[in-house]
Amino acid sequence: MTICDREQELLAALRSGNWTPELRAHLAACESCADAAITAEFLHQAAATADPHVPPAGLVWWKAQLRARRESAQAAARPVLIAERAAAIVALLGAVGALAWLSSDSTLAALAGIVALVLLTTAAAGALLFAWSKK
Amino acid sequence: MTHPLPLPATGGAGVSECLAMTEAEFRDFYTLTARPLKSYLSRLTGNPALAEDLLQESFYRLLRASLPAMEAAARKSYLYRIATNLARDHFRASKFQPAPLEDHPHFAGEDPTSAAHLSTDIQNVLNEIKPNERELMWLAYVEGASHREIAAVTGLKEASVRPLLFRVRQKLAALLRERGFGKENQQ
Ligand SMILES: [Zn+2]
Repeated sequence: MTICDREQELLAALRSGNWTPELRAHLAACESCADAAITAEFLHQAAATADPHVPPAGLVWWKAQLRARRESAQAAARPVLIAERAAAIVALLGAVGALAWLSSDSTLAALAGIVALVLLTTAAAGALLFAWSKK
Repeated sequence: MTHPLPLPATGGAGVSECLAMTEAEFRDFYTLTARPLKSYLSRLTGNPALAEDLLQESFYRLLRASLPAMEAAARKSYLYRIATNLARDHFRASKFQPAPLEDHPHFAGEDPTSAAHLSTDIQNVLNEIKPNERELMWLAYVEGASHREIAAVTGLKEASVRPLLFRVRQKLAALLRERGFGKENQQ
């Protein structure tokens, strides 16, 4: 069995209710059209009996606007959050560097500690300045 | 419904605050499409509450998508594509297979005035075919979509739609005859 050439004609008749005797006779004899008819009728009933409730357009629009604003605000806040976290990590590393400097007798370690402290403090200050500038 | 379009980003990263339509445009489009889409999603998932969630999410994603100017038919096709993908995501995430709502194996002999019974029986039959088969049947026979439009919504190749439709229709028709559906309407 293949899809019958008269299927569109049949579906149009099902929708409009305008049947010719010849098309009715064809439906009785054509297996493909019989399948199309029973399926289409069933699915139209499925559509007609489906839950028709939809929320009001105004409510959907209003919720979409709120959500869009919230998402935009979150997207804008993301670099600030990252900068703040980076500043916290850098400050922590700076403190570790300072401790190493204070607790070591080695000149080399002391020098490395000073350099690390200066670099990390500068980086932390930069990250915090960036975060504040974005707020 | 019309040509295939790119899918919108699903995340919120980098989204702009503005929506893709004015409120008036949205209201017109919503009035035209919300009820048919709700029916589609209700019958696809078998769950009206879930269908309402998916409906709102679909409209939201449409509003947030960066789309070129398009006619209502193309926009509707795009909306259905979003909704279909959301329903599929739901099926995948929950390994969801709708359970029979009630035990009503036959249509014949039931009170024909019981709309709730009929609706439940219809859903039980629909649940016996796969979700992607429901998509195909609905788009073809309720929405009256062309093979090209069905391909755009479902992501199938246009050439695959016809044989698939034929096979699923045969399956559904056999199921409906087995359940005694449409006996009163047969010639
Ligand atoms: Zn025929």
